[in-house]
Amino acid sequence: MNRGQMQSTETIAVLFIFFILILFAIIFYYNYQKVALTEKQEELLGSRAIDTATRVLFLPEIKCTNRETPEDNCIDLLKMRPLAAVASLTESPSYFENSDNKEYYFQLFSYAKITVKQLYPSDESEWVLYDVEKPNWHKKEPTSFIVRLKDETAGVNGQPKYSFGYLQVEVYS
Amino acid sequence: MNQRGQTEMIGLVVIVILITLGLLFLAQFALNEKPEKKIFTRKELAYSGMSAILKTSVRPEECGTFQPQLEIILQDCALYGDSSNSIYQCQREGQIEESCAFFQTTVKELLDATVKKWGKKYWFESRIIRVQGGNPDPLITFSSNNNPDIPECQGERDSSGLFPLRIGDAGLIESELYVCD
Repeated sequence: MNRGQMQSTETIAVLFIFFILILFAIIFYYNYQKVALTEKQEELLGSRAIDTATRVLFLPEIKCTNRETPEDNCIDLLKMRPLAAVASLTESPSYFENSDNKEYYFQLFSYAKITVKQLYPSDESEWVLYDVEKPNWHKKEPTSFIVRLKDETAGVNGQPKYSFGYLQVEVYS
Repeated sequence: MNQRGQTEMIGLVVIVILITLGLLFLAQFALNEKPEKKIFTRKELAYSGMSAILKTSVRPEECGTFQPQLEIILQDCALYGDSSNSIYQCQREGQIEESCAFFQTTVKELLDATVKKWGKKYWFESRIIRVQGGNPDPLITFSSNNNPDIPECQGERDSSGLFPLRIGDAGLIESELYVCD
């Protein structure tokens, strides 16, 4: 074989290996991006869960006030009870889900389930504030925050009684 | 011809090394991303948990019909400890518990039902700062694990911040809740 043919063969071999390497790099980058995208989606879902929970905590409809001063991480039971659905009766929607207010609260909460649970001192109670399930959802992200539940009428000597509970927000994707 | 072939091989090796270094560099950045959601959730849990605990009223059958808040029980614990002078003698399941033990048991149950159940660890600490000065004395300390010899949340953690309570002229109680993964 003459010299020119040898050199051409060498060049072709080098280029072949080079393109194989490029192919490996592309495959690796594709897989990395796929994983990164999935993680980003989960991160966004988690952020949405926290955003929704924060909106609930600051809702004036249920937030505690002390002489017009809002109290942090506190839900007023006297305000909340009439607005919530009874957890065991799925056919009676909450105030946040009925036809007049549905669109407004859907803009705030989107597809989510918002539950308030009381642990102590009273026996465990549960209220569903909002439950709009996304059709064909494939993932649910729960976030929970501890809250105080204030009851102005249940305290002693005119003082409000505070219970220990938590707010659970589940968002759908 | 041999020298030229060798030179080309060296070039190929250099390209492979450069690509490998580039991929390692990329992977390092991907692994070091800050989990901001995690930090926010822990901070918020610690703060809201502590705020709720101190204001929670006890059951009427436990510490009397007055239903004091847990912060009152903690103040009683700081003033009188487990002595018989304690104003509040609470009971749980028919057994009398002094205010310090009652506070610890109740708060641990609440934190186990929430923070621990959600896959996090915690460390609760209350300290007394006497009016006459000196270092704070530990008052109540417990964590999510049931072994007092192995403290939790000594590394990366988020705090509720200090929640001070006055105890008359005797000083101040500082309480803090740490939450970690």
